[in-house]
Amino acid sequence: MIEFLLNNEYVALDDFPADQTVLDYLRIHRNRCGTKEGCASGDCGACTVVIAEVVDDELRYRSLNSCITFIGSLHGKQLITVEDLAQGDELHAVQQALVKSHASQCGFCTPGFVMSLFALYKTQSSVDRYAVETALAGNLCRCTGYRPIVEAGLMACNQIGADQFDRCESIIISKLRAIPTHARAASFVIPDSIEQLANTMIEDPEYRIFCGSTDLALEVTQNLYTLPKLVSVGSVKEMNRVEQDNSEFRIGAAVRYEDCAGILVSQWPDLAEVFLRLGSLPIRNQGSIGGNVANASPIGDMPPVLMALNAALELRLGNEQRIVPMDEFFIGYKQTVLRPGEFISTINIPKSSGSRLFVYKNSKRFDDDISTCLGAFLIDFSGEKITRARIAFGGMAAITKRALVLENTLVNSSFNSETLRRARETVPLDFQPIDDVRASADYRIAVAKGFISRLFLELVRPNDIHRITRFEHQSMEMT
Amino acid sequence: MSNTVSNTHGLGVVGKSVPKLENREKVLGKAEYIADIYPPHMVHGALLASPHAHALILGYDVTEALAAPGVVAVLTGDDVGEGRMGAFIKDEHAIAKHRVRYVGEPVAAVAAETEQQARKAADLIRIEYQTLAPVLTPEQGLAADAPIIHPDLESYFKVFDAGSEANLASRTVFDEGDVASAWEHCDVIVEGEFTTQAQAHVSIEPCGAVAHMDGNGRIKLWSANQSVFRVQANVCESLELPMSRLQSLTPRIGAGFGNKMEPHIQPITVALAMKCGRPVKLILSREEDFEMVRARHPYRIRMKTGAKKDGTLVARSCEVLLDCGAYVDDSPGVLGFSLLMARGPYNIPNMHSEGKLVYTNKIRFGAFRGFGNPQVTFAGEQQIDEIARQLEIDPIDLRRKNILSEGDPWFLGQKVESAGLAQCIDAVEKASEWRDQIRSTKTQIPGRRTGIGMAITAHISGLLSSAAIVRILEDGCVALNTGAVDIGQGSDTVLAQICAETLKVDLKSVSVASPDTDGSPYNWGTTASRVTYMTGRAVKSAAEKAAIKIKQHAAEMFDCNIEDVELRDGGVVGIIGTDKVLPFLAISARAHWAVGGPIIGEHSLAFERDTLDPKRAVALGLPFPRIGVLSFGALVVEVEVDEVTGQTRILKAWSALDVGRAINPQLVEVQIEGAFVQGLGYALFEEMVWDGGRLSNPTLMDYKVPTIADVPYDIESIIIESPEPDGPYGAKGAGEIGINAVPAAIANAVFDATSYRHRHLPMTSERVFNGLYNSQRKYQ
Ligand SMILES: Cc1cc2nc3c(=O)[nH]c(=O)nc-3n(C[C@@H](O)[C@@H](O)[C@H](O)COP(=O)(O)OP(=O)(O)OC[C@H]3O[C@@H](n4cnc5c(N)ncnc54)[C@H](O)[C@@H]3O)c2cc1C
Ligand code: FES
Ligand code: FES
Repeated sequence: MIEFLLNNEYVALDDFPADQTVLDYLRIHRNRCGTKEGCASGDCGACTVVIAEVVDDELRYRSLNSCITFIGSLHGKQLITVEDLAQGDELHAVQQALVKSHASQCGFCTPGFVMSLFALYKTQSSVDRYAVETALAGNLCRCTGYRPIVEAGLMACNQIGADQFDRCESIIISKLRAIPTHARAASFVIPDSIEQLANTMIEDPEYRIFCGSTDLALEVTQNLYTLPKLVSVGSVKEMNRVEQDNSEFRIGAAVRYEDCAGILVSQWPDLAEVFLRLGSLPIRNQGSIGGNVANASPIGDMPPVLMALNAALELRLGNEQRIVPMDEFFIGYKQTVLRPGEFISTINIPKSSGSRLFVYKNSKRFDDDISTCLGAFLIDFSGEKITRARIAFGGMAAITKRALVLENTLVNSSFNSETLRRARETVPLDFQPIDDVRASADYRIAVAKGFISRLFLELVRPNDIHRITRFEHQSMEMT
Repeated sequence: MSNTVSNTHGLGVVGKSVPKLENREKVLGKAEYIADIYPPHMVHGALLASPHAHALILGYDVTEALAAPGVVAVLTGDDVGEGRMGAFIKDEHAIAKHRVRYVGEPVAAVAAETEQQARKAADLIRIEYQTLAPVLTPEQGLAADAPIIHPDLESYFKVFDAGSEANLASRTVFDEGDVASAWEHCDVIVEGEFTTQAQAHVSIEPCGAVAHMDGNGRIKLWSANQSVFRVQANVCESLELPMSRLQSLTPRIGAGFGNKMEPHIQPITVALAMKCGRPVKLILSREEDFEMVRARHPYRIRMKTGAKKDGTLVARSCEVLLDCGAYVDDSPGVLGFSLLMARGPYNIPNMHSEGKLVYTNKIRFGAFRGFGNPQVTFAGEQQIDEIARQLEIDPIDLRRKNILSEGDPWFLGQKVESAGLAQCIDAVEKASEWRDQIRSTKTQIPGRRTGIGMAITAHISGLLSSAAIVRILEDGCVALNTGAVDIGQGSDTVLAQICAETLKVDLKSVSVASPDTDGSPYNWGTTASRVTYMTGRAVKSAAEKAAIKIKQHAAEMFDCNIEDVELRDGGVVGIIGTDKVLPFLAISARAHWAVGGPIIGEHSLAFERDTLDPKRAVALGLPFPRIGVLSFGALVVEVEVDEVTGQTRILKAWSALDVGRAINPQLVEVQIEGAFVQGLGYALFEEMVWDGGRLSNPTLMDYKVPTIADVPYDIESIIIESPEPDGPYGAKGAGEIGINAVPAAIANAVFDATSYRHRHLPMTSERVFNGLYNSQRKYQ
């Protein structure tokens, strides 16, 4: 039986299709039609809802795309939808601000914006334009041009004042605490220990493992497959931890992007842009690095980074454990070394203090878009000389791959124009990309070469800003 | 940010940015869209799409599908007659019949108890096809040995002289002056070929419909639409039903941009509902919405423009080739309109434009905000820029020298009554600090380039007919009924403002009826930037007629002459020069219960100004004899290009539009900004891509539209008011014009940044990158 709160109402479900989405549950079974479907693939935000869960004795509110969230993932949480915000005749502050700013035209996107702004309102007490944009980059509006919505966000999320959710917080916390951390429904299992997970996975191979379902749910909503049995890693204690010592980070495979981005960015500042541009906030609230690695997409953003950082994966099958370096994990297009019943439990990333990580991403659209090409460069240098280089690219081959020829060319060279010329020429030796909808092979090669030039520019003139990012606009705005 | 330059003052609710009437409902999640309608006992519909671009249908086997769990009915082409629909050429059945003409075309439909059952059963329908060679480009379609897509084209009903032949759906030619001999009088001539891509509308709400037949055989149909009347006409034509049998209604609409103007799946939904006798609901998935509704036409444009040394424009010729896809839909109108707008808002004495519309085995292309104007503007405004650079004249000065002003004739002869174009140009020049920008943009940061560019445009609002009924209710409130669908742009609010202003009543006392073919007067549609201008005129006149009746009653009640009474603010009539007043309540009560009957004002009109003046110009295959009044606009953008990836970002934009009169400035501003952002996506990355006959990016994962982070921090919208004499309070349209100049202005700015002239849309990072490293010549 899975248990959750629909706003204040306690709900327990046992016999439900494992792959039913929260969106369908709301619209079809609960007649809550305020939450809209615009794409069923996590790309438009019309279906955004907010989930509250107990973290460190407080409620933490996060936005999610209900169209790609399985109903069982709600276990132990409070689900809040657009219908829950107003109290009687009184609109919630975010709703009021949207009305005041004329931020709704056709209104189909509006419930999604209401909920994304509500999550922002509940998590930050003062916001700038950049924060509003970051919170809303996963919500598409085809009518307004966004400006009125940004204004509404600034208006609503900079005002202080308790709302009804603050007033009910302690009641909700105690109701949620009464729900056990593990659960089992007819075809949906939520283990809370790695043993239980490992056992479920070997006992019944029909169980599909998932974490955020931001990838897996698309098999249901886009390919119309049925996933009869699901096991969630969301509550497995051992896999939801972020640990570190002097030499490495140990990131549980179920840790969501938003829960590890901060700590990783503080070690490698270049990752800030990667996380900002990886999906949208709801995707980062939900998606895990484990899922990103396991789905083995050649255009996933984390694998090249992890490969450059020389990360290793802890895998588990039943009681058996093994460690596989990132370099050896992918064996072909969408293929990995994982055996039936085996899963990733932890991702170990050496800190390699003293090295600098440079990451460059290119995509058609700046935010929330799959990479055309992503290059990650871990560079050690002493004086003008490169002493070590680990470099990996995504989007350049059927799998994420190291650029070995390039690495060899760089090591023991100085960063001067001759090295740059030679380095650029290695790209076609390391990679033979293909043409697809996103870009041609030639362009991918050209961009990869451009990344190398940019790397040199940044090594030589570290204080100039050479990239077009949203960060600098923010700093422009603040000065 | 915005500011308004106004020529008229002193009105009440007109000119005020009152919030939209239905805002609360929308932020509460209570607005009801098509997918939110769940009639009792309903079944769900699902479609089977053609896997072939071109094939004959030899037979259907539906036994397995009918036996599948939950299935109530299966519909195929055999269930519908030979009725065909189409706004210009009637070439389309309700559902594929005899032949399929594009991948994704609906060939069969299923109704079942749940959506999942319906989708599964649809996959069980077996269809025997004989595949035919497809036509994938208009060039292929015109080839002598091309497979013929509509063998019966000649016999199809057409509403204009289309000149159809083989795969040529229609052709149009316009001429004014003498282009052929004008070239020799030019000192500079620029010439080029431009192509533009297919753009998807991506209304965030996918299309859908709900239909139900009652015991008397009458059908009620709700659907995502831009005109309940076009829906009624299309369903009735294709299913051969008398219009009296179909009631077409509308829920709230999750935006349109043109894709919901003509039919999508309403005919199929109605046919299914008639077959299964229960309410049927059919909602398209995002993928189906991409694959089977409609999109913006890809264009191939050859354009040539000539000028004198001093910058005087002398001649232009423009030839376009349009892919109309499998069915013409609104394409002949789009073609004709492009050709009419190809001269731009300039006095060019010698102008020739011609175009061909060719059937291909692709999704139908149709109306999309701008209606063919952004494409020709992309070509034309870049050529103006090229000429300015060659002559070393500032692009703004060159434009100013050649623009149309009040009283000048538009291409083909229609007189321009109001023209705020010069003011628009002044406004963006000033706001963007154009002259300083031109000098200072070249400051280089390593790895990045910046540039600035401008483009100007005009658009129409008008076309066909509209009407309004204004009723004074028993208590003095006002019921407004126009049949115009508010697709989110706020026309209900604007029309209510016009009505309230005319009757001098509080906006709150005006109700706006939801369009319903049973009860609303005819309105052609929410399209062609026409509702404020056309329906607004009808509302104003209808309200004036009601006002006369009100005053007549009041005069009788006061026992004075009608000339002695006046409307006063707040729904009262007073005797001029006194403080004696009567509220509408008393007047309407008298009308209802004692004398004369309920007070109703009504007005009908059709747009009346001729497009063609046969003394000035000649036209062949003109699809619309009377098109509309002209709005104007000017746009400046500043861009930044990343040298490593070619990625282009828009840093700032200044967009000024002459809308005659902004009935609701805030709503105009949102039109300007929304159109700009849609144009930004079109200019930089939106593109439907086909692999053979199959669309390869029918998802929002692969087809990207702009997010909040792509939008420049400063889009300054500037409203210019140059009142149209017969517009309601001077208003003309604002819905489409804001998109027209965007690709051209961005292309001009990218040229400024990279010295490469982009003649192909979209200007993806890849293209800009290649341009950056291939541009050796200064001028191309
Ligand atoms: C709108 C949208 C935008 C996106 N943008 C980006 C982007 O910019 N960059 C990018 O890289 N990705 C992007 N993604 C992909 C995104 O799904 C992944 O990045 C995400 O990390 C997947 O994590 P998850 O926890 O949701 O995976 P899930 O969907 O839960 O799982 C993914 C796959 O991994 C398997 N799996 C999950 N956990 C484990 C485990 N511990 N051991 C073994 N197998 C496991 C599952 O069985 C499944 O096959 C985007 C996705 C969406 C929907
Ligand atoms: S419906 Fe589009 S993100 Fe969920
Ligand atoms: S208001 Fe229409 S999509 Fe946002």
